[in-house]
Amino acid sequence: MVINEVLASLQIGFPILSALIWLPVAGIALVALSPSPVLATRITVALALVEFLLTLLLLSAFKTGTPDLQFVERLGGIYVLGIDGISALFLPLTALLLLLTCLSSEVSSMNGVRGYLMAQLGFAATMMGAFAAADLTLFWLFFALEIAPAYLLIARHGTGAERRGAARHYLAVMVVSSGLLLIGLEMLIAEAGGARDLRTVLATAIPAEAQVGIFALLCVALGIKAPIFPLHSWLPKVLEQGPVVGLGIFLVGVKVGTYALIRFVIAMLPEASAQWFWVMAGLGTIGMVYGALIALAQSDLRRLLAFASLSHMGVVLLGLFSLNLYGLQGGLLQMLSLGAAAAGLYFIAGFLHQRVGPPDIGNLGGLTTQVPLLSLAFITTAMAAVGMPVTSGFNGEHLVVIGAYKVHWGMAICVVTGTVLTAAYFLRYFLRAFMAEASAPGAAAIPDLSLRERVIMLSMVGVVMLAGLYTGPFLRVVNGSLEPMAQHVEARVKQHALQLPGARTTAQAQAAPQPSTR
Amino acid sequence: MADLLPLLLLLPLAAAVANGVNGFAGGRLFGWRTVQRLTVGATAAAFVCALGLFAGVLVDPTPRTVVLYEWLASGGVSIEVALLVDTLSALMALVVTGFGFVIGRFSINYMHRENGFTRYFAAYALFVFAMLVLVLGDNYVMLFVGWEAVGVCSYLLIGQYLERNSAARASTEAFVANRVGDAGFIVAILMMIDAFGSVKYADVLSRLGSVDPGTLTAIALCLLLGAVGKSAQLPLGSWLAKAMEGPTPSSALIHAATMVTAGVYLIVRSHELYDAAPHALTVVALVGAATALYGAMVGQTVSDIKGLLATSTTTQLGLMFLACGLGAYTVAMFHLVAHAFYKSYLFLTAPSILHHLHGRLDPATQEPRRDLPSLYTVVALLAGLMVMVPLLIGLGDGATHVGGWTASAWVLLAGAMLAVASAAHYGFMLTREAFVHGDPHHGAAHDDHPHDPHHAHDHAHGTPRHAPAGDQRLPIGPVVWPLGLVAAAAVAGLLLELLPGGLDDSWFRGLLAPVVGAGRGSVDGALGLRVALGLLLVAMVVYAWFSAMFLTRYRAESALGGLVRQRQLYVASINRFWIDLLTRRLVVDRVLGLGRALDRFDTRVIDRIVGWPVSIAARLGRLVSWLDTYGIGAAERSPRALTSHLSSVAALLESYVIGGVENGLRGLLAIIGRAGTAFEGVIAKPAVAVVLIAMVTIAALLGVR
Repeated sequence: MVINEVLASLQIGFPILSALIWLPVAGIALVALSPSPVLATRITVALALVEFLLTLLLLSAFKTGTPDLQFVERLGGIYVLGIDGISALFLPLTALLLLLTCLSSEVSSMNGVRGYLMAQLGFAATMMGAFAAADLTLFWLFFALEIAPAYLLIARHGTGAERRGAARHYLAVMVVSSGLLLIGLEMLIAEAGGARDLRTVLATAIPAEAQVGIFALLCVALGIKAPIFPLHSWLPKVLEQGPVVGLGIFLVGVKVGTYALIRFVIAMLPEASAQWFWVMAGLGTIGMVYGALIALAQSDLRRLLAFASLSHMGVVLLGLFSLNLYGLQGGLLQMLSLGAAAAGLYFIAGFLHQRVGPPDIGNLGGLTTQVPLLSLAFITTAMAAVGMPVTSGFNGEHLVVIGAYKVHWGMAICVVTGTVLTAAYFLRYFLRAFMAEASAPGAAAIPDLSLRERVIMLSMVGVVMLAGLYTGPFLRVVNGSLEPMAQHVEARVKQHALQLPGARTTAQAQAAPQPSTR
Repeated sequence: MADLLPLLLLLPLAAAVANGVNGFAGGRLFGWRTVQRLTVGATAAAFVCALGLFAGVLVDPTPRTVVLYEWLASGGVSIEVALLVDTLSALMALVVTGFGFVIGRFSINYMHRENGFTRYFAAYALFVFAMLVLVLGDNYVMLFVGWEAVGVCSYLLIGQYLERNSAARASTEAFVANRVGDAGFIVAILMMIDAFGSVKYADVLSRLGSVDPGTLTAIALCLLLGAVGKSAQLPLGSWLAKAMEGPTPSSALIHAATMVTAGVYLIVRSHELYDAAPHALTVVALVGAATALYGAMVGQTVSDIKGLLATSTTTQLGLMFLACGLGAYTVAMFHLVAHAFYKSYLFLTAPSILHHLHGRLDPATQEPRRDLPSLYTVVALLAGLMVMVPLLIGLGDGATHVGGWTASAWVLLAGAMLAVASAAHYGFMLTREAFVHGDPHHGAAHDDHPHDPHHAHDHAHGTPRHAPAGDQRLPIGPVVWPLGLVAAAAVAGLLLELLPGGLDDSWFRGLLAPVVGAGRGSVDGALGLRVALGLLLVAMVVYAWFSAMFLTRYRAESALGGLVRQRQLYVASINRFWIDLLTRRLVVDRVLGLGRALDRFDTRVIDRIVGWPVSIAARLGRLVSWLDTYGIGAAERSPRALTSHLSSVAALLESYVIGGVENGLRGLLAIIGRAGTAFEGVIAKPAVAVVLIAMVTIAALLGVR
């Protein structure tokens, strides 16, 4: 697949992607030097706001309808930055979550605020870098660097008693993940004739027989990060033990894994993907049902969210490895919308934690009458995760179901079953934690959402509903890259006389009369 | 007249948003008077718009489409936010807004000074908006959007009384049951996209010929699953009775202003599809007949007014489905509209009766008639109407329309008879409970706890009251003259050619003709299905006769229990045929148990197997944490200390790595052993769980070839 590039200097006049990466890094220094925690918080919020505005500027200057790599910066060596339709939407989401996380009131009342803010900024910087990198080694660098701030966040600012254990678990697993990723990417680079540049690697046809090994390595490495079904053990631990507020951004952070699956596995290894897609789709299916069933039995919101994320990741995986346009679009949209919805719910878990301690059913009850706004925020965000219409989850889910159906109807049935279970576990939790009578009658009254918390929840709900109501513009951003990619995968697969999943049904669908493609 | 469309939709939406924002701001923006004026005003204006729309359709029945914008386009399939105005959708919009307005006006008094007043009206306005989207949408996705939104609104409305645990449970159950149906709907939509490349009604229904019948049947059955969930048919129907936990006007909204009849609308809307898929159509009839029979039998033992109304809705919906399944779509639609009239009226009078019974009635006198003359008349009238309506629509059609299959005529007759029998029962029950029996501690007084299982249980095992004779018989006189009034109204309707609505040349059929057309006119489908349907209909006739002859005339509440031989039937009826219990035991508990078992499996097995790098790296990790605490502190203290620390780090590293690898290997073996036993433990207990996992795995692997 040959794509062009547009230099940032031509498109916007200044190196905006570098600014996005280095601004938080500068923020770390400022926070370290600032004399008081209050000032440090203000600096961080201001920086996060600037960062968010920059990403909006980026999005407004972004050209849709083209697969080109845009805002490209080349500084020599591995420092090549650039974004396309696949990565464009992740940047604003990351910046928004950084802003909301820093806004969250707990920051100002916490011990070691500066360390916390620095870790948070570092995390945001590495994520921006991972999404903006247009060089394989640079991507790996950011991917590996991300571990450090995350580790610090969990180990130092976690709320659980076993936070150190969880942090260690996370560290060990992620070291294995990034090690495998490094080997896989280096093999890929070697097969591409030593080119590290995203554009060059994409343009090189990797020999089909060499692909399988790389495919396996990358899938395991990214499967740990994503996380995919049997490799998910770190996520419940981290979400349960980690900091209550800071991890909202984390749930988007794990999307780096699936993002890399599109970027490096499906786009660069199409033959291996077409040959082995059923392994990934199968794991996605199992993970979806498995995660949902476990979530049904959870009493702690944070642990529930971990398994909900696993279940959602299954949906995304199924979409991506349908290897058709619907599935890819749906998978990408689901990544964004579920990232936002899960982060929103995690914010709520944080609010609850601040008020009553761990958001376990045993501590809760009677919330709908005591804190109606908090309850409303929960149920609205949960509905987005369930995939109600007018939320982005609805469109993403449907696209995934269509994509999966084109491969096999059984897969589509599984996704649909997953949605029933999703509704069941969220509403069951809502029933038991929010609507049930308070278990401790003598407990002090808890306050409803503060102004700041309302702003946070409204922005999360706003994002999800905006993407749900105006899906067209969102899809146009991603389509520029996904359409050529889907065609590329199909062409490469045909060249090797392999059968694309669901080729029969695709042919049938093409025979049916269709309105014009947009 | 299509200009009115945006206004029609936006008014309730605006009211919902305003109320929602006000509620979110804690009711500080405007007071409760504004809330109620806003909501009722918006629905009233919407009703006027709908009237205009309907008038426009009467003048020019050509269907019109209004495209608002393109929602999403993907790979050749474009999904638009578009509205369709034809006679069917205009009629439905009229019903929705009309009853929305009336019930809204009623809610003002009912909800006065209740908790969550603003929340109630926000959900209320949103409900009306969602129903309008449902009926006015131009494609299946729009219909589904409204469908889901209505589900959410009903969830909010049923759970309105937040302080009540049973309301919370009821709303959750309603939502999840609906969601199961929705899963079928989603599958149907994507099969349409795959088969027809479009979701627009016009495209889908005109391309039926290009798709093989098997696919059509599959699509039709999936849609039916959605309709079954929403319209509370068997086997997903148990949520409807529990949904009575909501405030009475919201029950009226759900029952009368068409939420539960949305399933009927869906089938009528896609009737070409069902005509092309005869097996599916017969299944529709089967489901409808079974539900009608179920509702009628359960209704015999329900002992409170709201519960009666709920089960009567089940019966009526079953009959609508039956009519659809027999290809008599116009009959189903007429039934739908008529049902909206009398059911909303009954719902709205029920609370005031109960209020009187609670407040003013002295149980000793048992002579309340003089206190409530107007109410009495109205209820008796409506009860009479309930008896008459199926007759008026069903018989006329049965004779003339369904002629293809010889037995069809009496098939519909059976439905009508059942309806009459059970409706008569309800009517007698209502008047009796309210005005004759009138014991506030018994039966009628259960406004707030309509379906009280303990209460029912007591009756099941207490001494059933054998009906001796004489005073236990219903006084039939007071019911006769309202019936006469209804009959007079019916005659007037006949003269005006409005009734019976099902006849071939009736005005109603003419109205819907551009959309519904001729219908299939015969019962087709696999032999087994037809035989089952026939048997079911025979059962309906027999039961109707039996019920009318032996049960209803006796003391209504102990009707089935009154005769010793019907004991089993009575127990089955009072337990609602154990459908709820079975669902709980077989599905809900199993799924929850599976979840818990998997949770244990996850922590015991997966964590250990997959976590092997963790145990090996545990020492390394401890080293890091050591660096974290000591290293940084040391670095801050002095650079000299740092060097000494570094050397000890090196030494530690050496011992940790070597020891770590050794321990790690040993630990790994032990862990594998422990994991084995843990795994065995898990397998041994919930064997079902593991089998299910395996089945899912196999299905996934086979499924993707």
